[in-house]
Amino acid sequence: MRMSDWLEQEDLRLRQGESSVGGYPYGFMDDGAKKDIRRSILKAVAIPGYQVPYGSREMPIARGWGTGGIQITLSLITPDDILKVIDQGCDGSVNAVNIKKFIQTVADVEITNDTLTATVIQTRHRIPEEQMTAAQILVLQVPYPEALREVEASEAETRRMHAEADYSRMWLYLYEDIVNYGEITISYRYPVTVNGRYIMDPSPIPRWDVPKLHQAETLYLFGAGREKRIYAIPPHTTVEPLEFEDHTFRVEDFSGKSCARCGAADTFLDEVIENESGDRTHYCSDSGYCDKRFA
Amino acid sequence: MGYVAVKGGIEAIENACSLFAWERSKGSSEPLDVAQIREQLYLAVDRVMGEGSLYAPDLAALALKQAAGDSFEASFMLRAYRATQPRLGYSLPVNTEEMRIVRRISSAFKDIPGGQVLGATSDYTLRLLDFELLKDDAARREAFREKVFSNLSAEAEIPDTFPKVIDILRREGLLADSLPSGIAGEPFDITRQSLTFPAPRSAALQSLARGETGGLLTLAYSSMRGYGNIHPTLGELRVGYVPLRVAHPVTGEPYIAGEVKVTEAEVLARFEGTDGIPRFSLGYGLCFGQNELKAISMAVLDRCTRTAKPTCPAEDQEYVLYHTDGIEAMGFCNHWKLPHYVDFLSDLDRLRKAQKIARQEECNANE
Amino acid sequence: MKSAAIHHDHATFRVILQAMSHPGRTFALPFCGSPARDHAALIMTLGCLLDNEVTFSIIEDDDNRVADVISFHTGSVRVGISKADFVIAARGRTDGLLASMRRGTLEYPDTGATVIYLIDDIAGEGGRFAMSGPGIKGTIHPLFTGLATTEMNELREVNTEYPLGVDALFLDAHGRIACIPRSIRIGAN
Repeated sequence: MRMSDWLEQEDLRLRQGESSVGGYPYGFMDDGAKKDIRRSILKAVAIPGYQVPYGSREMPIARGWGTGGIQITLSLITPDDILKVIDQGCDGSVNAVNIKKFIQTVADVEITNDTLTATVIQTRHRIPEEQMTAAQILVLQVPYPEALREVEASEAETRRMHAEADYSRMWLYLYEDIVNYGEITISYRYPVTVNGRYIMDPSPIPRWDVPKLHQAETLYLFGAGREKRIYAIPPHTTVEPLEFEDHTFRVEDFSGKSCARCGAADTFLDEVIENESGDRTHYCSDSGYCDKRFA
Repeated sequence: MGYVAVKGGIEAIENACSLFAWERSKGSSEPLDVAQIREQLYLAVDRVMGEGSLYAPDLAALALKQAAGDSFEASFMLRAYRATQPRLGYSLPVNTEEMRIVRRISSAFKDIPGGQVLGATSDYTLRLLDFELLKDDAARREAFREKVFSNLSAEAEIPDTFPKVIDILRREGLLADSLPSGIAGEPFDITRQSLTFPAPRSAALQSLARGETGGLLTLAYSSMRGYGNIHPTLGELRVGYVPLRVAHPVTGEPYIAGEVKVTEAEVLARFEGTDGIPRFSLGYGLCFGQNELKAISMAVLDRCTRTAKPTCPAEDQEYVLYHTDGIEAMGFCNHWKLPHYVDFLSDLDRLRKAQKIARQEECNANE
Repeated sequence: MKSAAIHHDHATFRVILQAMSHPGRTFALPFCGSPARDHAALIMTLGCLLDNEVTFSIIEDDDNRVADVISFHTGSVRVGISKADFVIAARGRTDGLLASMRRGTLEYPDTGATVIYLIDDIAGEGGRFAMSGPGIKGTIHPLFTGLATTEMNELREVNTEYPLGVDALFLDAHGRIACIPRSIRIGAN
């Protein structure tokens, strides 16, 4: 069924005065599912960086397409919220559009592209450029919740490593990286230590966004639907990227480049191949911010 | 700028959805009726119910129609529907000895009490294309039915229940005792709690029962073929209907809420002795509908994953349970079609830096 | 506000989440009435968190009155203190029972209990104990009136083996909430 047909049908039902959406409760999921997710979110906030297992539900959007983020958003959203959804920084991306239309319908919320107007922002792979506030929540979609998966395939074993704070293999991995390439080559999903205790995967955000996690004003919630994990970084929490004294953490290098549209020289830039000879142009990845500057 | 941020992107998405429905509708053939799918493609319906984890033949047939025959998509729709339904309770444990049998075989013995019942199966058919089916119509169907009924011999007595082959072996002390379910009372429900390892037996069996047929087969086959040490003998394979009983919410009395068609496989494998006396161990498989490949694969994997010291993927419980859910695997595989250009740019940044360092080192070495 | 009855639990959870994210700070729960109806804050809080999948326990509940209301509203089952997911300290004290509550395991610290203190007043700054940690900018000294004097010391005690521990919610008679999760360092008085 086409998304738009379904939405129209549901919209009609709502206008006819039904309190729920096509037989589905407010927020789509049944009460039990939402309570399970809420309890997990509270534990995640109480133990920053620790992955809380939960009974992830199937959503009408495929596993791996943001179901973890959607479940978190649906468990906490209210009709007074203003929602922004982005994918790779962009409000108009296929997946972002699908998700926001779904949530708008089942949760009766307003939609915005403006980071500063939004009360809840759901995102895949980016943190907005503009600084968020204590009144806002950023929900991140997570494909791989386990930062240690690079060095250990078994869940039972990585859980033990977290339990004992045994992170020696992760440090060895970074060290070997430097020996082989002269640099830490981890590009996105850069591992961080949260509150001095847990090594955490910040989701596939670029390194550019990692410093925004440290001592932020905003609550960050991470949802991995397929892997059935929820974790969090509360505001004002110490978040440190893994680094060595002589090989410090560095963000992506955009020196000498700026957005071809709005001229920004202090944002994460997308690189676009303009023609077959390989000429490159750069644009802001955060489309909402770029629109605001360009207007 | 591709499929992101272009003006009209939303419209393009809507059109892509419409085109998908159009592909199914554009031909000159009659529209498929859901009943036709349910009755004539019943094995596909059974598979979708099993992998979708919901016993609902009409909805499974509808899902197959909507998904243009893609069993992954159809199972996914059924699961998504299931996730919105409240869980009212658990049924009482089913004794499969009560099964209304439509097929029942054992490869462990030439004959078994109650007899081998071959039932409806493609096992012994010649896999030759039947070109007669090109002109399948009501008259042909009628003729076929008449032929079948006219050849029936005198009605044979069919017993209400069939004894279990494994029970006979167990009584003789040749087979290990049945395993405890892992927890007392209500089973571990993987739709409410996420799996933890080692997984309780009820959670492991639930995962396998929802598993994707091809995925289960691949791993079970790897073990049968040589990556592992489980060589199964099919103690018994049953297909039939079992009554589902639910405890009355007030009186607690069991009552029958309906019946479901299931396939059950019990495989005997490698003997071992926990109390000093060697006995066969048992692998158990059960799934919705008639899906014998899946039930046997599940039984083999159930046995494999209980190996004390895993030496190959099929014996590693975490490996098997995490990688055989078709809906999760399909979603994640498909998600690579989503844009990843921010990640890729970050990759490019690291590659360019690593190349710069490498070239610099080469330069220094040459000086 | 667009919020109608069906959205109550969503709006209530948002405030609880804010309180858990900003430990020690006071937040007003919605829909509790003014002045707050008897146990309104407790019922609203549990209403968005508890169901038949989790258990609770109550310390000091005359005639099981509160327990019956909770069971009726949420379907949650009452169990012994050492087994409960949620423990309600109905009179702002746990009588030394805090130490017997679940603190979780190193593999699964999230299985530690949540304790909910019903107290007279969450009055903002002015308490004896300095608190710092995730969610707190610098240091704060929340004042909880009606909380037994020994409770803060005991809370610090059960949370010394972080990440094992118990997370505390405080609800007052005015429908307000504050939280002290286990990640918070409670300074000596």
